[in-house]
Amino acid sequence: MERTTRTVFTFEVREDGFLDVNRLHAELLREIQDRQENSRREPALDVAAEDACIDSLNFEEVFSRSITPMPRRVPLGLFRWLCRGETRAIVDQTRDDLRRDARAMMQEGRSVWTVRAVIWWRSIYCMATITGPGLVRIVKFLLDVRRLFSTPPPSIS
Amino acid sequence: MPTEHLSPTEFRLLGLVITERTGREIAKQYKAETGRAISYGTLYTTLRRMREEGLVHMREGSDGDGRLRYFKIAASGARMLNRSRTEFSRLADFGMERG
Repeated sequence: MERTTRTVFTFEVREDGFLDVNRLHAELLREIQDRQENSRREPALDVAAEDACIDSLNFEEVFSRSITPMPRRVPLGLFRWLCRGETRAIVDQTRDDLRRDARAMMQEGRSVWTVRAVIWWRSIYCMATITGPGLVRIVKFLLDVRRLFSTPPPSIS
Repeated sequence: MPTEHLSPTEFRLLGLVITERTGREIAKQYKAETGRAISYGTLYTTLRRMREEGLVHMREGSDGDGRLRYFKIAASGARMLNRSRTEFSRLADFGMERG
C-alpha cells in the first residue's frame, strides 16, 4: 500500500527580519526523530514523499537572510559549565545579550569576521571581569599565607 | 552587609536605572554618557550585588533572542543615590577649594 507523508514546517521570520533558526533546527530534528521512529515501527512508510509541497517555499529568499554570526565555540559555553547558581544565570544573560549585539552589528553592516572577533573579545573580557575579584582574593590569601611562613618568629628575650 | 558608600561605577549604574532598563540598554547608555564601555560581567555582577543590598529591583522577561533582565532603582537605592550625590559634590567642592 502506498502511503504519503506530508509535513508542513512553519518558517517564522521575526520582527527584525531574521529567521528563527534555533526553533527551525529544533523542529527539523524533532521531525526527523519522529520519522525514524515511525519508519522503524512501520517499514512500509514512504518517507520521501514526491508530492511534498516544498516548492511553494522560496528557500532562496528565506535562507539568504543573514544568520547571526555567533562564533561556534564561544568560550562562555565552557565557562557557563564551570559556574553555578547566580553566576551561571549571569553568564546565560550575557550570552543572550552578546547574541543581540552580534545581530545589531550585522544590521549596521559590519563584516562577519569583525562581529566574531568582537564577540570573542567581549566574551573573554566578560569572563575576566566575573572571575577577577575571586582570583584577586585567592592571590591575596596565598600572599598572606606566604608572608606568614616567611616571617621569622618573634624572639623571646 | 550593605555598603556605606557607593563606588563611582555603582553610583553611575544607580543613576541609569532611575527609569527601568534592560542590562543591555544600561551598558549602551553607560558608554554613551561616560565614554567608557562596561563589560556585561561587571555590569551584571555589580547589579546583582546592589540587588542583594536592596538598592535595585529586578524582573525577568524574554524576547525572541532569549531572556531579558530589567532593573529599576528601589527606594533605598534612591536614598543612597541622593546621599552619595551630596558626598561626591562635597568632595568636588573640597578639591576645587584646595586646587
